[in-house]
Amino acid sequence: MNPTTTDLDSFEAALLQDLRDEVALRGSAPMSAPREIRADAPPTVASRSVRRRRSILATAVAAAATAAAWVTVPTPGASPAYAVSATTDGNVTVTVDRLEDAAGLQAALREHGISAVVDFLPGGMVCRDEGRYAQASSDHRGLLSTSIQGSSLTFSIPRNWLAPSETLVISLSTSPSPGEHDTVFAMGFGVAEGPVGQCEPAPFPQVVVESGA
Amino acid sequence: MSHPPNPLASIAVDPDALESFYRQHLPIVRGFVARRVADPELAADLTADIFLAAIDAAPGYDPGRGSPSGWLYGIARHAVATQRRGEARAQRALTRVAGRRPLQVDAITRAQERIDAERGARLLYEAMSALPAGQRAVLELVALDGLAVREAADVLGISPVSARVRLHRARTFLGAALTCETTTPFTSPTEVLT
Repeated sequence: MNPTTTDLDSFEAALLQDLRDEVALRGSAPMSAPREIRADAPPTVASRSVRRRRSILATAVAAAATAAAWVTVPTPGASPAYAVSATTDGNVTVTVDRLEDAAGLQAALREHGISAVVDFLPGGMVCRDEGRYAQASSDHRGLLSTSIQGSSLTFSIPRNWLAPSETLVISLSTSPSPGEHDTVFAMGFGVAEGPVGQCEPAPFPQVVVESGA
Repeated sequence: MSHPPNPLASIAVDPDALESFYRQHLPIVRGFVARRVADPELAADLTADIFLAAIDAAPGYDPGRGSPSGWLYGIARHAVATQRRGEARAQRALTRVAGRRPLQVDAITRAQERIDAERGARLLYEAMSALPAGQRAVLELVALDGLAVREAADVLGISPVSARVRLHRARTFLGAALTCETTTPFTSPTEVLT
């Protein structure tokens, strides 16, 4: 037999707790029939659960980010995760209700001609901006309009707002409060010139602009 | 009774049994993953996938078809194959659920240590990619994971004789491939995921 491992790192300890929770949940429910593991099977509820836990367990690995354009958003509520639409004048409007499918949102923006890098982060975290990308030299501030209704965050990108070499960098964060890990809590955006590096999560900056409603 | 009791049935419903199984088999999974992927985040995801799949499959474990460790190797192979085959799809699924999240520093450090230590094994693993699937499966388990031929045969559900034949062919093939490979300077591991 293999020796029992007592020395767990933080991930392994967290995973163990998640697995225990998962098993406890199953143990309290009627047993389902054993099923064969299929390599092409879709993710189980359990795997989603554990991956979700990994997001909650995230901690800082870098220094605090600089405060960019941060807006906090009231959290309660649920509806479609996001929507991207173009108006007749060529502007693109994005509405985000829940932080699901960052890649999908990124692809949807690209379909509307917007080069973007989208990251969703767990509560209290933002992407560290330093060294991640070169800020575009032209000033885009104030041109991207943002509005908040309930838990829904909407922003509008004017037609031809980005030069061909520029990328809109969007970071959306969930609430650090327990039970509110799906809804949009804060948003940061910037415009990059050239390539954009991988998001390096850092603690949420203390300088924020409180939304009115 | 024709069927012996299933010693793993309890890990699907009893948290203490699950913890015991987890602690007992974590070294196997750590090594298995580190010999195949070079990215700590991906390694963490695979580790979670493997144990979740084990919990799913535990009620169907048949002790007559091999040890729990061998059974777990089979599950781990499925998890890695799934990740490799549908990497883009899996990444989308991950993003949809929660996105890639950072591990804490201690977990990254330890995962990276294991990954660095298994650099040679991963070179071998990559070199195996040219092999037919059946030969590769046996060679992986024997040469990479250190299983006995009989254990590898159990994992794959084939006879030990068949496993030996595949192993011999794989080694013959791979001997030439590795000779070529070692003439190329080995570069530092790249980050697999973005």
